[in-house]
Amino acid sequence: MISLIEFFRTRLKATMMACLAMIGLIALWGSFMVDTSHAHTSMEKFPFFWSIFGLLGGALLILLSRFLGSLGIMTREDYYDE
Amino acid sequence: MNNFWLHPALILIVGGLILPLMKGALRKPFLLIVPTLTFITVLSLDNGVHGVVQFLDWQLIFGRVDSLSRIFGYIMSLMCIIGTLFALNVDEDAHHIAAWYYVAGSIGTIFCGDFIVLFLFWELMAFASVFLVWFRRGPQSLATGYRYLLIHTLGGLFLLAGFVLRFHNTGDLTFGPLNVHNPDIATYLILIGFIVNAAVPPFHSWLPDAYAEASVAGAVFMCAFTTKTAIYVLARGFAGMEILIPLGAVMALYGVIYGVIENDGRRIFAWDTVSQVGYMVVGVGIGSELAINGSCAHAFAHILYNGLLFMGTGSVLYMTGTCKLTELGGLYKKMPRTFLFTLIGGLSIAGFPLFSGFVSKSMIIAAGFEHHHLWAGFALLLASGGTFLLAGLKVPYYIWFGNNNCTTERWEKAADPPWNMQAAMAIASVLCAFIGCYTAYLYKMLPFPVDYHPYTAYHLSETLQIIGTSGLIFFLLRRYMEPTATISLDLDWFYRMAGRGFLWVDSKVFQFIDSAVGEIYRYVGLFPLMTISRFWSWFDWNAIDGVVDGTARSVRSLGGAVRKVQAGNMQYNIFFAATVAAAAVLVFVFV
Repeated sequence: MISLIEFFRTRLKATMMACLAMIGLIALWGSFMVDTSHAHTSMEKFPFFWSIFGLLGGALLILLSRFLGSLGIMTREDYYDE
Repeated sequence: MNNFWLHPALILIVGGLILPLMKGALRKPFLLIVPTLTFITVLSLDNGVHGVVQFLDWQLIFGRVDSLSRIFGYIMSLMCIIGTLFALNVDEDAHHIAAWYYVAGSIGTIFCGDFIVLFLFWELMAFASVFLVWFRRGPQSLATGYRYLLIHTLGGLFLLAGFVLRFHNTGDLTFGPLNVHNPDIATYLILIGFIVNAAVPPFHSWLPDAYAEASVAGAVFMCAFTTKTAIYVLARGFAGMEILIPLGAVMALYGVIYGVIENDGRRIFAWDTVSQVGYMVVGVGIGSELAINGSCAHAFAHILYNGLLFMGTGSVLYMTGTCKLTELGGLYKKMPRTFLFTLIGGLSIAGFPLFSGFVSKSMIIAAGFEHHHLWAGFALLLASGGTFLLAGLKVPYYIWFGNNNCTTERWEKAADPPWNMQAAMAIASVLCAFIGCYTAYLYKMLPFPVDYHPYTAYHLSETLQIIGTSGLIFFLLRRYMEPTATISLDLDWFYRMAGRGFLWVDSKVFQFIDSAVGEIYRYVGLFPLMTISRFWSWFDWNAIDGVVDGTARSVRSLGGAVRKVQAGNMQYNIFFAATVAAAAVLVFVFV
């Protein structure tokens, strides 16, 4: 287990490129080779719909969380200890 | 109905009573035998109504067994075995007893057929589980436990008020589907009672508060039973109640948003629990056969992978003494198996193909789209990507990879946990993968016949694209995902501050009023009172006592005179009496 992790860590760049390539291939496969007749809505039939959804949705969640956190929700750990 | 029927919860209750007598080599086998017997008993239950007891004017139903209660009873008792195995090295009997009574409360609620029995076991759950928080014995445990108890007691009171009002209106105490299309006040009160336990906003804050503060093994139990029992009662009573759809969708996203800014590993998974229970709440709100099947399947899968995630992070806490991401990192060298198990839990919760979440949560999402709740379907898919960010990437990355922020002492202590904890995680991991690969195992247990196939090319491409791009955005925006040594204020702020406000008002305002009234009383009230008292004392002494004493003195002097006359000698008495009588006769004769 540890040696497997070490194997990927020593080849970090190649591992990351492989992951990126896989994400790209899945997006291509999902957009052009999969039968979209089972789509829930018509807008899903646009190419790369779910990839864009995942990217924008993930970015929205991360940035929205940080923004809300910066409004005062995130506070020091001893806040309630006073 | 008079046939003997063994309630599975009774095995745990009696087992808990016997446990303190088990010492030495007998103790550990006994700890495993009791939940195993419970599981076997649940498996052997026949459909129908059992354990009916006449109590005063009511019929109490302890054992309603049908496809809905059976699947929940199955997974609860199975999780009890896994949880007890994980907790096997806990020496305190009371910890095991609390955990078993908690599970007994859950199983009792699941098999009950009326509101009185439901309430009984509902409260047993709350009062047993609070000990799992207190047994952590941390600086915050006591206060957290009381807050937990306070919220659950409040929820219980709503439930009590609801079913008493319902009984008053209808004369019916049976627990079954309620009128969700024209709900009255009683129905809403019962709903509030249930959704407090399901951690539906705004009643959710108790969950991350308690789960993050519970004992290592206690959190594994807590993350499985309360919310999923609530999903069971919601599915039983409130299937099709549409207000649950937006509430559940908000829950699913709310949990993810708070998870992103959280630093404590177990608290992140507590927020993930809020998010995942949101899916089930949406399913109950939709109420169709597919949606209820989805909620049940997701509850089943969730209990296993959530237990696994809490076991993984709990092991880190157990071995290193902390679960804060800012104080950990690089642990893959020290805790590789724990990493693997937690990763399997993370992939399951994120709905990765071949793992349990993929085959369960997708049923709810499909039901959402099928019934034209498009925004709910998209919200749940968005939450799905967010869940992968948290459970699949953030927690594994910052605990097992990333910068090594461990102190030397912590690094030295870090290692995979004892065998029993690893065995429990291994069993849960295998089950997560098994459910994901062999869908018939889970689908055959669901309350309605299943006509759903998760492994379609479209579903696979949709899921893999969302998960893949979520992973990409994690690395692109990693600096915003970086954990910080902060806590996040939530709606519990209001009641925590209200408690403090009450204490302040009590210690400052009421104390001041009390002191002021005391002083005013001393100067204004006490002086006239003393004066009046002195007057009455004088009056009593001189007037009352004068009269009384005067009378007494008169009586005494008369008594003295009589005494002189009445010397006590019979012959004198007769002489005086005869003399007086003779004088009277003489007067009568001669005058």
